[in-house]
Amino acid sequence: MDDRWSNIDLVFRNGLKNYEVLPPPEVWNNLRPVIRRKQKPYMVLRAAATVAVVLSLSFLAYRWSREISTGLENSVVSLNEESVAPVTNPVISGLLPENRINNNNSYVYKDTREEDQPEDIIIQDNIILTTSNITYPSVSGGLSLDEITRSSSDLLSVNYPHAVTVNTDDFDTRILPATGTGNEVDRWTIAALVAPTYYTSFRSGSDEFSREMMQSEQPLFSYSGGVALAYKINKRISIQSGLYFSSVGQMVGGITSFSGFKNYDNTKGDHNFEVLTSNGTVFTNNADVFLLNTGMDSRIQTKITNDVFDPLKANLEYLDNSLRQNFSYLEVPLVVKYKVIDKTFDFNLIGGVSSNLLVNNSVYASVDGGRYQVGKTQGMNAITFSSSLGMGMEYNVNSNLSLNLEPTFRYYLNPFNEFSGLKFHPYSFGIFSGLSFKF
Amino acid sequence: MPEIKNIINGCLKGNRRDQELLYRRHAPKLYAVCVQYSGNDEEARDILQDGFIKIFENLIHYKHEGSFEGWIRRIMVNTALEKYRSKHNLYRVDDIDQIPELDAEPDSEDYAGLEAVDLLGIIRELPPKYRVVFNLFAIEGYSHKEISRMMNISEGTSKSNLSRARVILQRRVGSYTGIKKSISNG
Repeated sequence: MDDRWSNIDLVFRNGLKNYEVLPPPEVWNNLRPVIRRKQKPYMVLRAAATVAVVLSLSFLAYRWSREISTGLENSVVSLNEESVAPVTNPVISGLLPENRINNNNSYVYKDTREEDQPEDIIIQDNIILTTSNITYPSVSGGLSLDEITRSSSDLLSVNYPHAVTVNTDDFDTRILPATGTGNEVDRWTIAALVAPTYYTSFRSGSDEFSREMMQSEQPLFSYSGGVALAYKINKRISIQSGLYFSSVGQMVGGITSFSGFKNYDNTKGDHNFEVLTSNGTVFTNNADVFLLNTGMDSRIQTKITNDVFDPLKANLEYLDNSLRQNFSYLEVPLVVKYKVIDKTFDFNLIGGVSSNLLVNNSVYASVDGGRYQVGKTQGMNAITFSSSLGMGMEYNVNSNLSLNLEPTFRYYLNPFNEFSGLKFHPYSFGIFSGLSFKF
Repeated sequence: MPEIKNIINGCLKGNRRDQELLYRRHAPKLYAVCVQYSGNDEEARDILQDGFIKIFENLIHYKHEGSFEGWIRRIMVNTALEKYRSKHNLYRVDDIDQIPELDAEPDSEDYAGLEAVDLLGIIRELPPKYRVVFNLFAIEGYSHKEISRMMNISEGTSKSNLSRARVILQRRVGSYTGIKKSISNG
């Protein structure tokens, strides 16, 4: 019986073996968040780790710059030869064993405030003490033998003129706030800055399809600008925030667009074409647009295939030979500025992070300088985070007004589109220029 | 086009582009399988969606030894079977003894002019139990022993279901080709 019916089995088997049916778009739309949700813990951990690293680096940089700042301010030892005396004090020399005192190199403190001595001294571990906070009597007479001879490190010594060694346990010490505090009346600065930016990305899509896709994409002219408000913590360090608007985008080649398709569009669904780009998948939302793939294979997904619709036989109007993706962001940066040179011409180092809110997402064809709306890029992250590093040059026109020039490199910590999947991170380089006003 | 191995590795690393590539490359063929096993489009969509979730979840177990296409097809067929098992009590299947077998051997000319979409339409008209057995035996190439295990039925039931499916298919083919001929003749 099986032999008898093998013919019908074969017909169905051969007829359906390689048959394909394009699934409805909603399947992938439903599937996407499910897969994404499964990835979410990993993504969150990665983002948290990135933020932690950035914050740690920022903190370390801040600490480091603070120490450098303090060191520069106090780079001269504020003791002079007259402020110390050889160890001839009979009290101490009599109390300490011979081998623990080097009479040629060791000195003891002498209260010289009455002799117009500078208040600050530096000890070896860079802790700043004020002479007013050191309990001198314990050195001259009140220090017990036990306290003095507790260990070799307890030995009081001043290696003039290079450094002074003090056992900080025996003194009432207080760490001073960083010196060189800025001018009290000019702590705030408001600035208006604008920059043309060059936007591109570190791309590590290793497969052939990704490489081919990215080769057909070129960055569009991008710009950024806004208002910044800075608060001067001390003479060298300022914290700055503000509100910026930025526009970035790219041109996707190999895709020819036509208008006039509405007359032939008998299909159902919310979009007719899907275009794969490194920033994500573009869904057309203009039913009048017809897209023709003139570049790499499999870039356009559509149910309007050649066997359904022949564009050559239709009355379509040519629009453009590439698509343009545009994204606009509102950015709220938080940056630290460290002033390296404080003259008429200031020089700052700038670093920080920024949260960027997506406010516009459009894909268009360029027609005679105008924009012909095509669709949107799907799956764009509503918020992205970026880090920035730059140099700030500031020419002080007068005590309040300055001209600013800030070449800035910005690296996006997360991609614009989580879903695009390619391991690339956008970055941009811009030269901000503008005016700032101190008050 | 990227190698499937690279796409799989990308999917395992959570690369969303690779996930989308894998879906777009294989979804049309797998959706045809879903349509083949389901009675309507909604069911086919559910099977495809559930099947792809399983594919992504189980990619880590794929050893790159056999055909990837065959591997994901098996997952999709198993998903269709699960869907069938969850619903099969809802369908009433006529007893095989009540359906007389056709005496005439099917003529190969009866199938001439039938396109894949016609074959798919004919298969979908089968009662679910017959449709699944016919698909598993005639399309996927499973034996009655395997089918009996997969569907938790006896080998005899599998054989009788297949016979019944063939009879119905033969009738449907006849009516399809008859209609087509009458349309083409004017």
